[in-house]
Amino acid sequence: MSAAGIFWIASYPKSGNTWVRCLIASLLAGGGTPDLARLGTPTAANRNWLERVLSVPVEDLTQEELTGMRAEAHRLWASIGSGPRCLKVHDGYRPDLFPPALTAGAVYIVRDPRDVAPSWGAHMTVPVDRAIADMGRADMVQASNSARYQTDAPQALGSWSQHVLSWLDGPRPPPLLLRYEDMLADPPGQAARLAAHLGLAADRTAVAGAVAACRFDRLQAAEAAEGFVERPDKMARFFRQGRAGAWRSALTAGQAARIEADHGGVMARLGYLGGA
Amino acid sequence: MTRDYRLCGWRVRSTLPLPELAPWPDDDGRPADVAILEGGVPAELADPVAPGGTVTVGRDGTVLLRIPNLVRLLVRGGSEIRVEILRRETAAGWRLFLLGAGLGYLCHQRGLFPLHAASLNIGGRVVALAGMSGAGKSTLAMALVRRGHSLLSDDLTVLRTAPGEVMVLPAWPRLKLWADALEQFGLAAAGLPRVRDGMDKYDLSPMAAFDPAPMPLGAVVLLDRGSNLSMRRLEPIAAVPALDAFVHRAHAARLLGRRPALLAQAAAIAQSVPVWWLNRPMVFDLLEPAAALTERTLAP
Repeated sequence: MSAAGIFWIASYPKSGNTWVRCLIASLLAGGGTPDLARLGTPTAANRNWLERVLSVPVEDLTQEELTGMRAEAHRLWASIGSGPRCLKVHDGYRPDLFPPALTAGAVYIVRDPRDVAPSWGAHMTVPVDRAIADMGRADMVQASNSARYQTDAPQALGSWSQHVLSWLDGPRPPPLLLRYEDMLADPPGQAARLAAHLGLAADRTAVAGAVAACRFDRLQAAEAAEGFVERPDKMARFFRQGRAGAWRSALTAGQAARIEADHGGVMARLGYLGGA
Repeated sequence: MTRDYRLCGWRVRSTLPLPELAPWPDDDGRPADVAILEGGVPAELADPVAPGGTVTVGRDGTVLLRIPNLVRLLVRGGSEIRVEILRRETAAGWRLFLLGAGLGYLCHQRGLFPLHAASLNIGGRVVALAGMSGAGKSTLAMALVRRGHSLLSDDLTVLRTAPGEVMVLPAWPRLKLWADALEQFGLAAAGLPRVRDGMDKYDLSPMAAFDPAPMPLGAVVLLDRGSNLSMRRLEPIAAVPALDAFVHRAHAARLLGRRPALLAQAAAIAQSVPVWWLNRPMVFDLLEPAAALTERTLAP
């Protein structure tokens, strides 16, 4: 990574962001095994990360106060040390939160929303129908509950379609678009695009090493052996299936139809509807 | 009008009422160690060591904390905290920052080791439970209080290192618990003060008697999430960076130039007392087993 600034590693939840962060960690290590406990791409909304950067007692801040400090955390982090660094983001794109002046670039990872829905439902321990409804809500905010401790500050996602459009049509220059399905179909090709976009000097050996080190079964095995700090406590495991097209058996015809009705326009643009 | 309080063994003279603190026992003629003054606090420091934001440190070691639309604190020389209350909530939100972050900065200025930890007296042995925000310090502390142990501090454990000995300077007894944790303990939130307006987190003052006298530290337990409930003792050499990672308000401490001193203090702590990792899945079902394990492992 050469230029200064922050690379925003952005996606709707359950769309492959962690996979990409593992690939970045591995590419930086020349294709070595990433350490799940120290992925090196912090989550921008994570309270412990915000506490470290801002040096304020986050547990005594309201969600609104914390939200107001996130832009400052980005500014402070960009000013500490030198060279570009990556931050994981689930928020919809907002120029005030992700200012062009701090930005080195962005990567946007997208996944067929019909596969996102069952994964999101399992992650949040809610029925798939609730996940589908959430993905259609323009006012969807993650981690907004104020009745218990939240690992993360609230993140305004918007609907799945709004999220995709905010990132694809918001930042200039536009982000590198990685489709989860392409990453499964051609891992070395997509990992090489990622490395090139981030300005990582990664030769074919490093790319091949990173792809092998971040294969789904390897990440699953690492989680089984050492655990994964980002796994929700109610969930048996974070790395669950990692497949494309599982919706055909996971969703009812009605559920798939509802997602297609809600998001058909954006799905067509991304090649997720027939004939693309 | 001023009032005198007892905090970490210091005589604190305050122009603001601080009901969380024990009053100073009687006028023994000891001069005040720390002054807390309500008054104007500037929005910026004239000579910061780094561009300021929420926390700014000046070249003279002054620390400025700004919580927008709530409170500003100016902490100077380890002996004075100036407080400008920008907005009064129903909850005493500003005091959380004064007695939390403000006390942390004051400790750094006084050369003490503020550990991000709750502390309890477990059968005569003082144990610090350290953890990041959200690691479950208060919840585990509450489970231990309910097993009959007394609380010394909630979020911040102030340590003073001397050759061969590490002392805990008790702050004040209070636990802040989220509504879901209260419910698990079978306690009703109704009637309890909220720590902040709009936050379902409540201020609980445990009932047991509070002893403000400094006591020797007996052990440190570092809380972390893990797949299985387990306790593992750290070699002193491994305990040094682990303790260093739980320094309260570490960024401000770095800007104050305290890194080398803090590492030396972490080494002194690691040599004096056992340091343990407590790994546990963060589910309420395992809270009692975690408290029992802590008690069994650490009781003298």
